[in-house]
Amino acid sequence: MRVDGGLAAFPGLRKPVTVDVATLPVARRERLQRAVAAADFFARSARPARPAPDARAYTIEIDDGTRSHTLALAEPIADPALQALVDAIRACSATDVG
Amino acid sequence: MPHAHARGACRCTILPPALLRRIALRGTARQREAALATLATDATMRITRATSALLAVPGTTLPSATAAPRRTIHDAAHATTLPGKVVRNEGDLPTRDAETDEAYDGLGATYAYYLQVHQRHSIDDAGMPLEATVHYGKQYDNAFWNGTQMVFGDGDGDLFNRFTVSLDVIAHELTHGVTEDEARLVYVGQSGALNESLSDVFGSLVKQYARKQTAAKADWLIGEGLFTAKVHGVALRSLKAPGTAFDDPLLGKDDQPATMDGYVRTSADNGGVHTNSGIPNHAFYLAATAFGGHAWEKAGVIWYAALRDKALKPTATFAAFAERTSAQADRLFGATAQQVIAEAWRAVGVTVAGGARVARSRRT
Ligand SMILES: [Zn+2]
Repeated sequence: MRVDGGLAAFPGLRKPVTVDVATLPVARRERLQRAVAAADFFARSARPARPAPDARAYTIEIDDGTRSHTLALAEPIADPALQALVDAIRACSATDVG
Repeated sequence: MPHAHARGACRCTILPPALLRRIALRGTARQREAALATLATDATMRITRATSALLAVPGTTLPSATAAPRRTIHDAAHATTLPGKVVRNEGDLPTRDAETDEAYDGLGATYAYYLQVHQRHSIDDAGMPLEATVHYGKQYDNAFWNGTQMVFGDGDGDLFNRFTVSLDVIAHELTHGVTEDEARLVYVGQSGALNESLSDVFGSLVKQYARKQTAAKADWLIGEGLFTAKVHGVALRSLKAPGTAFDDPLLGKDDQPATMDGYVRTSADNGGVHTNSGIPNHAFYLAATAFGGHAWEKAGVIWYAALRDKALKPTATFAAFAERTSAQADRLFGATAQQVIAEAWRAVGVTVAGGARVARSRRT
């Protein structure tokens, strides 16, 4: 997942968040898999939104071994299922940071 | 300020003299009638005096409503659905929720700045209600303007405190609304960096005005207090010294350039809008400190006039904006001020075409 924008530019946070599901603890893996399913991720089409000042944009790419799909999201994310997916990915990467 | 006190009573009004004067010259009879009716319902001496002053001038009118903010603070309750539940309306007592009350007070201070310094009545200069949502998302470390309202996260508590903690950040977000209403600067590349810079400039000016600080005494920081003690940094940005606000193992180093030599070409962040804004930010700082005194009195008035200059296009480059500031400086304060502006831009590597003039301003 690539995170772009926000109120300030932080060079240290620019690198994409990459999560290898196989290495995740069970609880996080299940949360992520549930979020992907609940958001119906692979059926969602990306529609680029006009950037809102200081809002973040997310580019989520998921490869489940059989298919790969990319979705672009811009804040505010109104759909709770998509927001939950973003939160789940961020939670997975939290231990990798720092 | 380029206005005079027309009569003694004006010193006591909540409406600044320049606004009264503008009102006296513009607007429809219907607006005037509505405005006077609204004013008449308020029994305070100050309003009474404002009303008499208004009545004394033939053809007087008001924008559309009373010159007072209409604030509503919403609580998203850590969801991301906007706007959320109303928790504080205009005139309500403090809620004792820090985010709610800081947003309310910050919007009030920003409103007061625009009204008292630039005679601007809210975001659209027509009394637009000020809407903000606090407690947006879970540990959300950001704030933004979504086109109609301001949104503030609580921060993660680890690196970032609540985003309502800095008055300049609140004013920064509200100014995105002003820019959208005026120059409509496209949020990408140089016009996007100008859009960002205007939010920083007026964000800083709102804070300086609230603190009654001179340009020399001001800290020129955006977002001071936003970082937790864990972060190596003082703020998100510095107009005085772009590129020096933070240098942290996790967040990285502030990479804002102060001059065109350091202009960053990137596809990230809509073409580096939060990075290259350092260049026009620093030009403003140089102009304001060269003038001396309060930054909002000359440099701020010039920048505001440039933002509203109808010759400024939505896709304006730094050079195009610089030219408008130069032209407005000449119109408002004369040739010496224009030289100060040209020198400030030259110092950051932006050349202003000589003798730029204002053909016909949108509103004087
Ligand atoms: Zn901004």
